Amino acid sequence: MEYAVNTTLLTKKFGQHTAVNQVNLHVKRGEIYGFIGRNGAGKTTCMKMLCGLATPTSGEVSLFGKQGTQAREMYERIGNLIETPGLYPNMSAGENLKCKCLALGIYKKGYIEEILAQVGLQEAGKKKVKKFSLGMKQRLGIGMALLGEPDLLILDEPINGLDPQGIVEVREILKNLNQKKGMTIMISSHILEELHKVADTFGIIHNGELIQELSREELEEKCNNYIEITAEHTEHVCTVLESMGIKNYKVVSPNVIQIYERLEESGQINRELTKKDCVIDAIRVAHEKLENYFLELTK
Amino acid sequence: MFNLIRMDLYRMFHTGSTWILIGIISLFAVFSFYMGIVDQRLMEETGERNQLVVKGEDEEGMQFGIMVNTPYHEDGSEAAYLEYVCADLQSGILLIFISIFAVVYVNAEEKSGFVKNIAGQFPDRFWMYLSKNVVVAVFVLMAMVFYMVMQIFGVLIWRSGAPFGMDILGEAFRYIAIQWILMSAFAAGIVLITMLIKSTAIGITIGMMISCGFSQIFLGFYYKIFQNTKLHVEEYLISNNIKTIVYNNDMDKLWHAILVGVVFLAVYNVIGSVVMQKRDVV
Repeated sequence: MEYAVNTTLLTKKFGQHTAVNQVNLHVKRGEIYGFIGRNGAGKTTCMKMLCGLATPTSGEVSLFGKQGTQAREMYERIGNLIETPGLYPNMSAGENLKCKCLALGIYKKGYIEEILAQVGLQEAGKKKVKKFSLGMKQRLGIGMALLGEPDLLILDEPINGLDPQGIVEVREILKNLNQKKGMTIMISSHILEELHKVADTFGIIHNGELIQELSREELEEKCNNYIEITAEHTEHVCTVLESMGIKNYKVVSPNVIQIYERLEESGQINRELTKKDCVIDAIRVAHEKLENYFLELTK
Repeated sequence: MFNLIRMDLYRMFHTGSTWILIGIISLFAVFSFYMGIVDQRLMEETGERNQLVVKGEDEEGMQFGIMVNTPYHEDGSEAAYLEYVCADLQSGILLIFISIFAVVYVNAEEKSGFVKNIAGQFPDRFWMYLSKNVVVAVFVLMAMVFYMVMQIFGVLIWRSGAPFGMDILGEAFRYIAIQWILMSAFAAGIVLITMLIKSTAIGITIGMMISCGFSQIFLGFYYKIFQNTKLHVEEYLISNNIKTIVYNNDMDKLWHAILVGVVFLAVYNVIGSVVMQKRDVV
């Protein structure tokens, strides 16, 4: 498996404060990685280290399979939008893009117009950035990150300040880039439901530590509807469930089983368990909201 | 590095503050020339000398404040255009505008956050610092050229009979080149201070104070402490060299000034490059 980004015990300290603590992150090539965490969890600090904007205190960052000094050459292949977009307010959108094009040595005709069209700012190329709305600035920030056809896009809360229409448009842009151009995208957001719609893998960071990395399927499993059975002897309950042909279940604690299939048959399951002398303390259909799951994890 | 210089030059030419400052410098050039003419007329009317410069004399010791020495010939002959140029450059008046430009220009990249867009893609970040100094040196040259060109208008309006100064052409251009090196070194110092403290207000204040010679207050303390010292520290200060060399100095003094400029340029660039490379971005 080739990873676009792979960190080993990545750590960042500011004096006595440890902002990022031994993070082992894995972003697969060609996927969209959703980075979730509360304010101050360490997402932005982590992303800055991945972009080359901050130097790790210890640990290693591997980019596209390259480590150490070889990884430094890979920074050219990363586009980023970290915190608020960095734009010259008294220059136009086109001029801001032109600045970065010159820095990267890009002189292709019509390229700036292409980028502006890609982020929905084709009419605003000559407008000064100080007259932009917050949403327009976010789009231009994404456009700046796209300059140079990066292989890896690192976006720190790119949908901040966007209206619902804008959020949908950014989602479509990112999906397009990922599916049509195979771009690897790492995106952080507080809007978990929105992240859930685009990301393939999720990394949850809390107090500087990466507490979980899970795929979309695993997250759905954890956050889906399920039948929750509380019983004294879960082994006996499991035997009955197997005899009913129920395979997709999990014993989450000594007294609790969660079933992820045949959710409409909770009554029948209850009847069958009672018939087979299982002592059931409680049975219910529950749904784990993403936010609840996240809040529970980061308590 | 050349890509970064192109980017920084593009930004300089597309920033309003650049042209506002150039406009102010141009107007000031005409105003300064006019004030020189007023001075000369006053001298002629009163028969007194209010200014220090006599053709061919050096300036020694410290200078405090901004003072433009109007060129004056004791034999009553007309001062040449190039002498006016050299006198104005010697005053250090351009240093104030250079300070303002350097601080505003360098800080804009940091304050706007634009640096985040490019810093990650250049692992050798010190090139970003060096390109700023190249562009600031270009601005210094632009400021000098515009100042000199506008002084021609002054000459045409108020001293149409003044000679160009062909007899001192070589010396004058050598002097202008040396002043360019010194002023670029001064600007590099302001760029370094701005990069370290990241404050526009403080950066401009420090630049203006150094331009006006306030750093020489510390010289006063130095001489009070080391009363018998033979080391004249002011000879190694950029602002002092700018204000004390004249176009017809001996080559020893001119080479000394060049060396001071080049050494300070090198030192500022090395310190700034190391800091830029080591420090986290934003």
